[in-house]
Amino acid sequence: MKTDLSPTIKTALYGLMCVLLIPFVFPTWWMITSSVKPISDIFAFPPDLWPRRFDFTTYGKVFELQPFAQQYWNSAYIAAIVTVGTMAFSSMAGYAFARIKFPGADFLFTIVLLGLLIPSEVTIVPLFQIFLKWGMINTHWPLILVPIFGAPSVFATFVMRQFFIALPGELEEAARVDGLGRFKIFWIIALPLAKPALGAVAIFTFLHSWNLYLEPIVFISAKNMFTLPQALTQFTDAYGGAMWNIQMAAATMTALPVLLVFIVAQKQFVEGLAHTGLKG
Amino acid sequence: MAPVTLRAVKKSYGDAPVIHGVDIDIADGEFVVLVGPSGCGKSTLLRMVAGLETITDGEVSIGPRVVNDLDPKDRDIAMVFQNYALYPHMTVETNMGFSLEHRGASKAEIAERVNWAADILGLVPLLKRYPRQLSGGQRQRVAMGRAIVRNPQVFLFDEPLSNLDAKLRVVMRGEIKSLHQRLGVTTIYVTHDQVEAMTMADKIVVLNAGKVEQIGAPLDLYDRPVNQFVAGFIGSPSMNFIGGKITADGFAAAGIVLPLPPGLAIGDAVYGIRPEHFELSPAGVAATVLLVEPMGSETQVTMTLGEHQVIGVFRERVKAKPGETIMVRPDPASVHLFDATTGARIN
Amino acid sequence: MTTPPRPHPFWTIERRDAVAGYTFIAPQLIGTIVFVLIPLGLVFWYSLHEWNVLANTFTFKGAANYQHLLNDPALPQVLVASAIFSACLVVLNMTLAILLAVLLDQKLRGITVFRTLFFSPVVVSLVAWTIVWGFLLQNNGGINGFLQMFGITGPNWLRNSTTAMISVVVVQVFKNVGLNMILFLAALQGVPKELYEAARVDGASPFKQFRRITLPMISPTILLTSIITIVGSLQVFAQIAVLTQGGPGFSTTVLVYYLYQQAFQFHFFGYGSTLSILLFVIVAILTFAQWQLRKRIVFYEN
Repeated sequence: MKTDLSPTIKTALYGLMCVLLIPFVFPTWWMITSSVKPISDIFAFPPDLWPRRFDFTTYGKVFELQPFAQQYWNSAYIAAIVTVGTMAFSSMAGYAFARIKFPGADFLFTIVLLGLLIPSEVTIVPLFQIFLKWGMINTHWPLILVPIFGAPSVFATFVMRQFFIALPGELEEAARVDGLGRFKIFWIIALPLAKPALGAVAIFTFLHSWNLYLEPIVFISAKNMFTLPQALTQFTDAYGGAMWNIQMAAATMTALPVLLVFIVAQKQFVEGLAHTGLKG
Repeated sequence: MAPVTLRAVKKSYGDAPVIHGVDIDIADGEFVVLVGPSGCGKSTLLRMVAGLETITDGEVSIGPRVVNDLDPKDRDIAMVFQNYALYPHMTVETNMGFSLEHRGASKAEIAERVNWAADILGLVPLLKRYPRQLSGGQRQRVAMGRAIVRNPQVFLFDEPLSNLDAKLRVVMRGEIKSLHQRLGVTTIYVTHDQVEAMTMADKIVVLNAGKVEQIGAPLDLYDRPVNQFVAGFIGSPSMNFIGGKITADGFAAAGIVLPLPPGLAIGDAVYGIRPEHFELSPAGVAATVLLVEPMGSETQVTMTLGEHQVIGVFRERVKAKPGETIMVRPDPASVHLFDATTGARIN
Repeated sequence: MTTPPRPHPFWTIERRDAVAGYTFIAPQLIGTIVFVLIPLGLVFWYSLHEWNVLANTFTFKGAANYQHLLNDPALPQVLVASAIFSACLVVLNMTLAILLAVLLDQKLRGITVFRTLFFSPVVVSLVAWTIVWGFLLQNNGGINGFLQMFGITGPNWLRNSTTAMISVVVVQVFKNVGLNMILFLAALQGVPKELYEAARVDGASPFKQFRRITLPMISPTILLTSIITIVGSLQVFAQIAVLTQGGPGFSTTVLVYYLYQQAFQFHFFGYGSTLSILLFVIVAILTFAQWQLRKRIVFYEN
């Protein structure tokens, strides 16, 4: 397959890829441009690929209509805690299941793996009752605890275990001869070497938390407690009609930072995922 | 530096015994090689000395201390692993100083020891590199450097040269040996390669199926193996064995009678002769040539004596072609005879 | 040889390792038990009860909810919608992912830029992506606007049961196909080059090479990603909630959305739990199938 292609074929391939790109790239373009169109131009015909008039007040209105800064902070700090927590717990558990011999390890691993069979959609009803009992409705606790311990973290544990299994045993033995105990071996030797797997876990976990939608709408009803996905759907006028340009402005602010981080770090991103995806 | 003693050391995994009671005395500063076929338990034994495997029964002492229950770090040993086990995320310098760092040595002390070791091993220009930027031989040297930095009582080597190509292996063999001569630290070295054992050891321990077959100086093992296993394991090409009977006229085997030294008890036995103990001589016995392999300095000939296929190595350049007959004489003084059932030496 | 008995230390390596092992797994294990396994037990317990929120009664009804499940006139429509959604999604996703992976595997200048762009929707906030598509799919929205320029009057995408289903599938495919594309790309790059060279020597055309070498070599990846994609499709909720709210009618009401409606809009917690059990059984069967396949097919794993 990997031969040098003729110029005609190359041009054809470039053309095909550009056409295929439209549904991947155009929505983002449309989101950004529409966010600076005045409402009167939003449904203009023919559609404007570049705004004929600019209206940047939409971005201000996002913050007037919703406590958007607060909501942004909510999403950001929840995702950060979930990501760091998942990385910590899944790497610890993954390491122990891969490398430490202790009685009942296989049985306990099976117990944890069961979590993969049970997405939070299945358990959302009892989770609601549990958090109700604990007085945690309308707090961020469910949005933190459920992902940190639920199916996504079990997946992360599995990914980390697969990685640690492949780590040469001699490295740990050398570390033991050099005078390290279990905790130090984990912290100084195993964890620094697990960076690719940890990176992939971090990306998966962050995106999962950042995109969480069912849990917020079940557990949260106060506006200042909303997360971004929930908040984005709230930009409607008195009749329930969407205020499209303001909504697009809010969506742009939600999507763009992550997108930019991704474009800067895309190599590590994509390769980390490919590597782990095959093993996981 | 310290002597190492193994007393009735046993190891089982569950109900499966793998080491059946091993006694070895290693003198202070001695270079001892544990050698044997794969699965003989030599690496397990080394790892028990290191503290990486628990000791099921018996005692391991380093110096005056019984170390059975001590952690590897408290045994004052250093180990060189088969795949070197260099920490990939640390530079050569950090790798070498790592154990000192975790024993609370001062920065100046670490730097001094690392530089000393790097100097001995010619690693000074590589100190800032990462293991992935090194060649196989360089990694091997770093692994050794890491071991000597701490100035331990005992060095343990676990098949350290098995990942190198043949030429480099010879070079590193010499380096390890001269390092030992320079530092004089008690060394236990595991290998499956009997050439390494012969060339490096002060004392060889031949292991087979979890038992010691023989302990001795390399040439003693070569010249007077205590049993057929050791005789066959030490030496390359290996000793020829012919089954038959000791008679008054010599050793009677299928289709041939071979000369024997006088004064042997009549009975069934295994006749052993090393390839270089044949000589071309008209006074010898007839052998049919199967294959001639000239090496330059010597010639290796595969041939049949009676119904037995044997290998001879000759100083002369043998011109015979396959199918031709040559006259060869086994030196009766160099014959090894083994009990036909137990394999123990009988002459 | 007798030696005086030595006092054995209590903290042997095995004991210390056991303590370390249990400490390391404790947070994950306890968390999984509390937030996954106990809730699963509860959901089964709830499914045997009628839960009246207003009267605050919780009455044991045995299999009544399961009876209701079998007689629920909406359920067949929900299951059909779920099946259509998952089937269309997996077929489209796989085809597009393989096509894109093959394209991105070509030696072309600037190919990483294309890779980045095709992958980019994966990192765009899910609800933001969905809202934009919702905006584009409005009757007077961008897509129909462009169609109009060519004289085509597009349908009211989200208000017609066929096009609504197409819309939710397509929105989801473009959002996540990048992930599978990357997995296939890695699989393609894992195919030994010698195989293609041998095939070229044998005179096989590029198409034949693809069919006889590429496809068989990446078939393990195809199988595994299909099942992962199907299981993922069963959890799709936000897209439905934002784009169609399950409508028109039940045409896009997939099981998770129906479960959410029953439990949290109509407060039928008992019946909602029964639907959860149904979802669990489907997910469990598919995941087990995946594990079996992985054992049978993915020979390079330990």
